[in-house]
Amino acid sequence: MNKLDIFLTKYFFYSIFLLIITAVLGNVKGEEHLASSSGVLRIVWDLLGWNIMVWIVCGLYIFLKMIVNANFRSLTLKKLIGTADRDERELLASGEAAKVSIISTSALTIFLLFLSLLNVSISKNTKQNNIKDAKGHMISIGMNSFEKVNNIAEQKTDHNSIFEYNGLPISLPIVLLLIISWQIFIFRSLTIRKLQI
Amino acid sequence: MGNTQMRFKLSNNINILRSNIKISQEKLASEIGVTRATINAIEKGNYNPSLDLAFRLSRFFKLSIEDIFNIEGEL
Repeated sequence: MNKLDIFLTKYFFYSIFLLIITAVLGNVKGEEHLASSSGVLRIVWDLLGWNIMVWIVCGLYIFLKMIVNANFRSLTLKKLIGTADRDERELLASGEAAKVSIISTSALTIFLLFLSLLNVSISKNTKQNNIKDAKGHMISIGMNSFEKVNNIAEQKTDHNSIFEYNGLPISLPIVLLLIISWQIFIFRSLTIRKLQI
Repeated sequence: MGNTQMRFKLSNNINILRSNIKISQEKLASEIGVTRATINAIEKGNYNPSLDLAFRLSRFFKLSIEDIFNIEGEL
């Protein structure tokens, strides 16, 4: 990895704290108030804004380079994930942790897929439901089709509905973040545990 | 699921051999190309080295593998 790549990678990861500060400041003081302010506050707000733009460009460069350059990808992700491979014992621990990590991530992914397809609805029984001699409530359990999963928001809500579940109530980026975090957490914790024995 | 657990314990004299020639774990580790933590794990019996590493240790101490490692229990 050359010096520029090292600098950009460090900048990308460490300036996440600046992004958090930007988000907090924007929420506390209000973005409009900050944009119309003057003096030091305005300078800080402008610098933080520039930081976001530079951070995005830097991120694009890093992720594109990760796709095309195997050496860069390996070095960057090894540091992020915390792979230990200095000798055979560390390689063995990393290998065992990777096996458990991939199995548990697969289980999590399958579970999330199931939850995203699941459709549960509990509603009051009315004449409109076309069920003769039915009383009380109606429970309906089903599966969404794959093409419907991304169009859940467009589905009509029944006024008689008491409870309705149409796939995961979280966005796709959160699902991806959850899977990545879970995989890294399992891998790191297992590697550390195995190497401490 | 088959039981693949080994029922023997591999003990070793690395600690004693190291003391005899007054060499630290760090020095031994760098001589045979592993980390100090690995030497520590082998000495404590927490890690069984590969055949390759066992031979490297054997060459370093100029002893046979059997003189360094002992098997306790049934194979």
